[in-house]
Amino acid sequence: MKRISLLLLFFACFAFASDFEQSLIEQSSDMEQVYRLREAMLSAVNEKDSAKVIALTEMLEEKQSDNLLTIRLEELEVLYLHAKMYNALTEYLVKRYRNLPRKQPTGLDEPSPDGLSIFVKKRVEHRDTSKHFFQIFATQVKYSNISDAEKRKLELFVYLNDAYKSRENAKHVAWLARSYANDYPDDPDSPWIKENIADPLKRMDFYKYTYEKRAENKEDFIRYKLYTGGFGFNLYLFTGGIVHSFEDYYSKNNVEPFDFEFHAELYLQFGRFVPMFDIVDLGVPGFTTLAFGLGFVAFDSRYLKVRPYVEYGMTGMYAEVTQKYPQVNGRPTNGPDSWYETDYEFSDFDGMSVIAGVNVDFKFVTAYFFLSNEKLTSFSLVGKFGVTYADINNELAWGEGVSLFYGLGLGVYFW
Amino acid sequence: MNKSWFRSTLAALYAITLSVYLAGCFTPYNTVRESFDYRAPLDSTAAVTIIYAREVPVLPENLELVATIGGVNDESCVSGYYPDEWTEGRLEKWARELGANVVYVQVAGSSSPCIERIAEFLVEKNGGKNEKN
Repeated sequence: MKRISLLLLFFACFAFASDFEQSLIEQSSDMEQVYRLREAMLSAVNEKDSAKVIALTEMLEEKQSDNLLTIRLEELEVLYLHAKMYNALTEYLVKRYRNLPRKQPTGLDEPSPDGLSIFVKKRVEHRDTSKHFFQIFATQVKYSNISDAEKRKLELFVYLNDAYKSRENAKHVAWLARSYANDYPDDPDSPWIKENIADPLKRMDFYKYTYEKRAENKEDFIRYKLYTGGFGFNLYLFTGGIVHSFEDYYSKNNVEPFDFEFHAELYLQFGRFVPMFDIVDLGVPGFTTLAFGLGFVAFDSRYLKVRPYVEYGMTGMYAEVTQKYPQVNGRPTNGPDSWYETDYEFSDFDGMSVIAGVNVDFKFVTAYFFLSNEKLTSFSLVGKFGVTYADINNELAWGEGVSLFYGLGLGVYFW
Repeated sequence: MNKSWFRSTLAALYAITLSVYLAGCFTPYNTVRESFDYRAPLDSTAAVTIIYAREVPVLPENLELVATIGGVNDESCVSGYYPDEWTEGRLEKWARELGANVVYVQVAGSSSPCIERIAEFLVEKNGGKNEKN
């Protein structure tokens, strides 16, 4: 039994070795074929036999595998250019680039230096090495009998392989591709040249692209952002109102309220809902309200936003006693000791008010927020209109009533 | 309780809201979206293909651009944004966040101190049926 297993092992090793040897033989014969094809290619180029060059290109490509590079792209390009096979080269390159796999194999074996590689090297050695080898052939191509469109397409595709090797190349290829696609829109390759070569390179100039794109996107973006959210600040410069039943609620002889010249509103917007805080003039002289409430964006557009709201406010006064003041509107105070002396500064916000109003914003300027592509700032003319019921009750003033009020001013909204 | 109380309250509210807002605003990367049809993010295991323009100088066909992220990779550069190293993991993470499954990385040159580079985030058109790979 043992002997049989040993025998089997021996045969297995032999079989494996012969497979391995076989693959070596195949590889070396493959390599030999590649060298022969390359040699034939060089002869065909020197004989200017274009049909044979094309056939040999195909044969060399067939031999190409995941670990063997049979002919470098630059070698092919130099050979075709040398043989003045301009249109054949363009055709070959277009086909190649249109079918390029997304991943390029790396670490490929290349043939050792042979007649073909030496020929190619010599053909392009007398040049400014900072420049692309196409420069060597530029004059030859320029005076050839192919059309202007063909010349430009050829230059584009020969340069393409080096497009990302330097910024200069990138700019040059971007220009070649864009101008070709613009000048020859009837070429079936033009849309592809524009979208898949020129446009990605154009985006490399990222700052320019950013500004172009944000300008292009702006109106869409504003539409997209309507009813989303943000926060705003409004300052009301002109305020006032019509008062009903607020009369004689404090003694004008004894008390002088400070006029609040500051009427403002701060609000947040979440979707359509708007929590808000404001210092508002309800149109009742001498009184100011600090109010909190909730608004609702009923309508929003490029320029106009309408936002009805309800608020609960603390209404009161901040006043100076101008004359010793024993009582308020006939209401007795706590006694002579608690009289308000002249120059006493009084403040009390114990009054309450309920407000229903509407904000109307005219967004006359909407711009991106500084460098951001995702935020906007709007500058607006703002109006606020509403009705309020207020109940004021403190030691210097009391009364209750209804007023209609308005405020006009300027606003800024970040969204 | 006096007048300055209102103003301080107001200023504080303003400052808080402003800082919350600014915190979300100045991200270190500048993303330019192709359109505002925001795509749903992909889940963290979704496959993302990264293609390098140096190897494939033509943007493969049948892809739709979602967004572009750009920058310069050297802090000595005066202008622009300074993204960190663009590792494959980072690019994949961005792609998934943007709902893209292909990234096309374009870098021009290698010797200049400021290397301009962009990463384009794309999705397969027709659900990837025409993918050539």
